[in-house]
Amino acid sequence: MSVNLKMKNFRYNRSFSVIGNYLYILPFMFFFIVFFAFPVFQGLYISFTEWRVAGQPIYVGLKNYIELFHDRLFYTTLKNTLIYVLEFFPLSVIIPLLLAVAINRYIIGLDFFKFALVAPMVVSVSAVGLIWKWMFNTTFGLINYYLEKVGIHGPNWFMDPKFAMLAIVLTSLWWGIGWNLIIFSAGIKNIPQELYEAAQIDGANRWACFWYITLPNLTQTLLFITVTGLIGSFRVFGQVYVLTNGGPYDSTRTLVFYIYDNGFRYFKMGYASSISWILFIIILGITLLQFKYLKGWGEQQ
Amino acid sequence: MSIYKIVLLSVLLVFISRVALSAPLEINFWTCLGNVDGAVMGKLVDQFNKENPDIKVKSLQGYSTEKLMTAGLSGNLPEIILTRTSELSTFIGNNWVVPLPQEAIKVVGVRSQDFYPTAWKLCYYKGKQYAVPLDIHLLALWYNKKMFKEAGLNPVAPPRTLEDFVTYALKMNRPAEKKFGASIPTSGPWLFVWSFYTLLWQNGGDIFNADETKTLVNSPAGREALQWMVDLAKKLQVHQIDTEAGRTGRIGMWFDGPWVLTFWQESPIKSDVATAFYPQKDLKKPIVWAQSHIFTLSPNAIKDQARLEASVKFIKWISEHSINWAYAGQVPANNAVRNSKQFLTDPQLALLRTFAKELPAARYVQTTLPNFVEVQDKLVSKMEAAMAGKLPVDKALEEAEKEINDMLAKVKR
Amino acid sequence: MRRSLSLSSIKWVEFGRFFLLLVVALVMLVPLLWTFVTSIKPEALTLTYPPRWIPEKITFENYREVWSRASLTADIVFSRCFFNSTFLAIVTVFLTLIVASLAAYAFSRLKFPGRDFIFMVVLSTLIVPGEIILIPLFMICYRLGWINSYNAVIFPGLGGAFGVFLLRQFFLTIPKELEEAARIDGCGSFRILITIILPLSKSALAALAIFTFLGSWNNFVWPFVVLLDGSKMTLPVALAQFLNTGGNWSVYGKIMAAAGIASIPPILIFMFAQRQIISSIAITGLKG
Repeated sequence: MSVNLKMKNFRYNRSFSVIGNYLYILPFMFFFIVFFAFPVFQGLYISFTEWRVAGQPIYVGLKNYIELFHDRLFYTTLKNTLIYVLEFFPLSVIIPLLLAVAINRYIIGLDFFKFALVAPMVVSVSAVGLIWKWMFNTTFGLINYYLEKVGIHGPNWFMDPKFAMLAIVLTSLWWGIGWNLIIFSAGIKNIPQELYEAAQIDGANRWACFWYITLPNLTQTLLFITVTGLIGSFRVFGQVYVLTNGGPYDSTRTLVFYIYDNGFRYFKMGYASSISWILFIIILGITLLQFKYLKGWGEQQ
Repeated sequence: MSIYKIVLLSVLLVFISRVALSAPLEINFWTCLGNVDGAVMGKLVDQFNKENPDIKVKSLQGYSTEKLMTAGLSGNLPEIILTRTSELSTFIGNNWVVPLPQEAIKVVGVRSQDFYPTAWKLCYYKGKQYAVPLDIHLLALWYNKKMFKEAGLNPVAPPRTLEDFVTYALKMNRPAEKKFGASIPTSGPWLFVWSFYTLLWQNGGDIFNADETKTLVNSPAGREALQWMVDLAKKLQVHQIDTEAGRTGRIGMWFDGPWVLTFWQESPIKSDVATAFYPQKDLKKPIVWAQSHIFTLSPNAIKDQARLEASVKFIKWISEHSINWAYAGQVPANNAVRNSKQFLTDPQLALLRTFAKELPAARYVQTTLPNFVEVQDKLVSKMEAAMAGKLPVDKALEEAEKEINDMLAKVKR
Repeated sequence: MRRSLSLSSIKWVEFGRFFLLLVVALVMLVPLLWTFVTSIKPEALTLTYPPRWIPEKITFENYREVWSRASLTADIVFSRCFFNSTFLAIVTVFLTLIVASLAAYAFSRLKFPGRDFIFMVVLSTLIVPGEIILIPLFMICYRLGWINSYNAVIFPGLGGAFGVFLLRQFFLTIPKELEEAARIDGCGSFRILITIILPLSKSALAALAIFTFLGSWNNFVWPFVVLLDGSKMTLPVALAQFLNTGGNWSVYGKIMAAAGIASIPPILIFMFAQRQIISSIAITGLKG
């Protein structure tokens, strides 16, 4: 075939294939739009109404948002959520990362370790909460019992606002490390062995291998983990509901908990919706920043 | 058509109609119960279905708010809902329940004189009857006779007054050995706030004023009540011991309801434990917090006469057989059952009978506020602050009063 | 592999690695062990002080009671719920992997106008808490006539951004040269996806499969709301009576037994799937 004809075919094929490319996202976009985007926008509409989830929603304009602006409890929940994120999120990334590196090479009992590290993932959030609620019981629980054995007077886990949040963070770490561990593990496995071999021939030690080979090759994985991890931390709810029910003295009442309370206990669905949209804007802002900052060391593979 | 065909057709019609009539009418019944309670109610429902083959009740133990909401929106509410007196005004506000049609009640034979009067009255909202009470649960004093004996106290003479309660508690208190004279709840919107209400009422106070436009918790009565709880917790060095810790055998006294009855049947320290009246400020005017489970009907129950009658029939049957419900740890609201020989003499119900005897002191939370849950949450949050020492009692109740009054002002009357 | 490190420092590092893993593994397992021990104690003996690791009496009555008498509704058969949960989880995993792979491939490797913008919009939905979508989503399923049908449980989840995001990140790490070489040979996009991208992403697909399985298995709020028949109920709903925390007191023996029953199938699948993951990595191992 002549060159011109080949190029013409090529261009023709290309525009055809662009439409074809849309086909790949079609199934997903269908489900996404019908079952996600649509309800989310309905949620937006509801935030401009008052609705007891009985009868019809009543349009009230910006009333919910204005009320939210003056709501002291909302700012408390925002603060609590930020505290949780700061205490939980960094550890929820660093610990699984180190563990993933640690289990990447053979060691005695590797199978056992792999199983043990992800086992807590399997338990549902309610059961996790109930297990740890009794373990954290100040007088009779396992944690304080063993703390006392080493001479530390166990704190008042669920009565002292300082420690209640810590209890939730610890419970969440126990439960959540497995998730990120699996993803990091999968990411590390994708790194070609030759890179490590070449480095060790050049005399690099473990730390250098980690810093100069492992980490840079994990940027895509890290982006995923930090974006979803941060979003997930902001959305903490299930454990709080079981462990502390938002107390004591609202010290563990997080944003999503406040949304749940307003929507399903106080029957103020419109107000709950408005809180979730403010939460949305906050997290969206943070996520966009993450993409902007981390995208630099992302896309150039 | 030939005669032969007509005869065949009519025989067929009679047969079909008989089959259709004998197909049981399906009624849905959702309850707020869970755990052990739910299992007992489930068995009662099974028994009803066996004895009434023309009705089939399908029960669900432990609805969630989400389920009620979505059912309400899609018209799928169950015919009968078992809920609590404290939630009646919420249910009414959400259009989940309807007033009970009085003719159906009369026809099936559910009469007010068969029920404990206070519980019956709580089923009325703005003059209309919305529910039938199933039981009454209230708070009482649970105590460990063995710990009494160890401290030199008389195990058959538990404290009757609040003052004696504190004295006894301190006498039995040995924190170093992890043995505590008493435990009181220190957080949460359940036993914690119910204990507060009891003390508030005993001190002569109340939660709201008559038309529920202002809260009265920041009164001398309220401050005394909360201070009592805070002081006791400090004196005993009680650190968040839930009342369920009484099961460890290391707590001398605690406040709890009758619903834990089933635990004690199999407990190894069963013989150590007894129940007594809730200690009082003024023995001449005993008051203790109470609540009831109530049967309500949803709009689906009144859609046709057959459904309505079947539902009321079910309610009446359960009420009459609520002696079995008593074993789950509830005082039956049905007078006949409560005064029956079985209830009064069965040794398995010994712990429960104290609660029945306490009934004259029973006082319910009565409110028509649509946002009572939100108001109570605010109160609980400030109380928890006082318990944790973050706010002095006065300040805590002052802040609670201010914020609750703001909420009450927004309620559309 | 030649090592340029001294033998003794290797030993220390190895020992440290072992010790760290051991400590963390124990921290992970001890609460689960405690759960199990509590579940085999008679209910009345579950709360003791000091805490007992070796039960005075061992009994399986909690498991028996949860399995037979814990009927959320009278027409729930526990073995049926097990089957329902398994069926739903497998179908969900299968469909999710397909839908997410296709979309992730497009977002990472194919070019079309608006690609990155659409992706960001999709991603932003990860932020929305499920509680807010519950009622509107229910009304949509109601209008589709999907109430009390498995369709309502399976299909809405396929629109989730999590899987697409995860796979897209992994697909981005696959070297472009492989794809370019295949295109020069005349491979179309679809063949590239099937023969190159997917086989190299086994670990990511396995991870997504695990997460989707667990998400489906433990999903309680939505199936509880959407399903009405006892015969269709899933396992966590059947166990809700014990894992719901509305009660004023806790039957710890039965709660732990319920948690145990709910956790055993995923654990077994984990142990089995773990072997699969390990062996598949060994095969794909060293890539050129």
